[in-house]
Amino acid sequence: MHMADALLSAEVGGIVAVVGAGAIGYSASKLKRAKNIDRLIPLMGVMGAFVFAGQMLNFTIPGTGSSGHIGGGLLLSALLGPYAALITIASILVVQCLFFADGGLLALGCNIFNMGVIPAFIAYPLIYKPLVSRSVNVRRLSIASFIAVVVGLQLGAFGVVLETSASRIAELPLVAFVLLMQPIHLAIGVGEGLATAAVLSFIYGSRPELIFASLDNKEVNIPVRGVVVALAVAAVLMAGGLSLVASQYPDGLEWAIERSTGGSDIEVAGPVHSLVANVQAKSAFMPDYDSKFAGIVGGLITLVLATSAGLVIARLARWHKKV
Amino acid sequence: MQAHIDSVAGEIRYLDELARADSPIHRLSAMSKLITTLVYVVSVISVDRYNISGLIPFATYPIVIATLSDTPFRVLLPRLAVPFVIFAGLSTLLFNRDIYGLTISSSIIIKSLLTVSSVVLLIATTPIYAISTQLSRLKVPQIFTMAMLMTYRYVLVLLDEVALASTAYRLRSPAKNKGIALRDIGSFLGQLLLRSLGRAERVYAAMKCRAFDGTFRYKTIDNPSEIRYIVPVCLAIILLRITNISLLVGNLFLGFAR
Repeated sequence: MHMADALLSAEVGGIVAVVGAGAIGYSASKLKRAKNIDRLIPLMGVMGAFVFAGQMLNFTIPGTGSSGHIGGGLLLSALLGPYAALITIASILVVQCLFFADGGLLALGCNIFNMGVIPAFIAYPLIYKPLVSRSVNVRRLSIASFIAVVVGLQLGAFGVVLETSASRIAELPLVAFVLLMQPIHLAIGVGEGLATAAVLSFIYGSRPELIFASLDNKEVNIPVRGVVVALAVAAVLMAGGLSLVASQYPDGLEWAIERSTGGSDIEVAGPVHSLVANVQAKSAFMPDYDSKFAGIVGGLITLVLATSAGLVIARLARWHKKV
Repeated sequence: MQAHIDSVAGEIRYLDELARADSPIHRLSAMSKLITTLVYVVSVISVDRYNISGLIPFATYPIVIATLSDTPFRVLLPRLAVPFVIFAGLSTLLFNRDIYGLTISSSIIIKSLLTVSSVVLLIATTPIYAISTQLSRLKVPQIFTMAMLMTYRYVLVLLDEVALASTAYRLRSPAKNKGIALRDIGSFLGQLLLRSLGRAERVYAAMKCRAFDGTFRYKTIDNPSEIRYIVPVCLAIILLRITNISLLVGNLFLGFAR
């Protein structure tokens, strides 16, 4: 579910990156006020590493023959609280992005949002916590975590759909994309939900105080309204940015030409203009196909030049080392 | 599973080793590389989706950086096949079975190759503690930069533990070849989690014994020559973005050929 840079536009990537950075900043400010903040850092580091390593483990889902692995968003929220969980997930995503190209650099914001903000600031406070707060037992814990994971993953997958569609890079019809993404992530969510439920049940059985720790924490108070407002603002910005890009009107230059000359092409007039036009005509091999063909030829030549430059530099470097 | 975990751990160690090598690129500060990588990624993804020839000159950056930094190309190659991008590219083709669909799919795949290469080159030439320190200098919350650094530090340790535990599990349940049974995953991961929490406590105690107080202290390094790298490289990247070098070169070449 990690988003890649190639599917994002700069505007969408930038806006969601700001949202993600804002979430990290908000979590960090909330944690600063907590007592024992220096204890949190190794805790988040080791738990982050645990989730990273845990994602390598595949377990089989009986009856389907398929396998799944934990995502970790809700698990971390249930054990560390949403703020620490968000920062931990962000750390994991950065390591995955840098070392495994699992998710792009600009797309980090989107990934932190889809896989961090959604489980920690939406699924956890709105689904898991209310269900478990009333009374804690293995059954409630399992059901609450299962539902929270599945819903969180569905929302996260939908986030991917929205971000990809808003970027308008991949030309995928929205409905088809949704119909493809959601069922796949429902299946993944079922697997992850079962695993998360199993782990939390085990923890409740052996160290119940860990489950109660984040539930009893009165400082954890996600302003849901704030989250919704931030999302709405981001959506409006994106939509606004898109409408500017996809404007039906001719762009500024064409509009100016149309207004001033009454036509959409400028006639060549004057000696300088004719000279330049001549040069252009001579240098364009096939005037009709010139753009595409010249582009391809030029592209190949540039690639060859770039590779040769690379080889030359490598040779020079080796010669320099010998001398 | 053991093999997979081993290969993941091996990749991390290898990249760590590469980052500690010496080359003109390695000697640059993390800030320069972060800025140029970001400018590069934004420039590449902002190229119009029908413009393939304009993307090709961007390959110069990863080729030159990889050569100058002695990064073997085999480090870049395995990461270039990004499944989700290939899926999106092929889906685009499926829904638009014409030249436009092909152009968009190719554009997506080429952009992916370029952006992924630049990020891999960043981490292959910059140790993660340098990136973490640099982010702290940029006023990114230290709690995040330190958590990131510690996650990285402990990934190898936890991977070892997971590998050991999964081997022990497989030795005790020979019939299960595909992975861990669902009914065992709770206690398997749960035990690992509890051991990780115990480890975190011990790490915390060790850090406190060494006078850790929650802040990370770093020396300020002023490296004015960095501007001499950042500005020209960023200008070159922006130039690649606003002009279509392929078209210019192609026109020139074909003009000469006539």
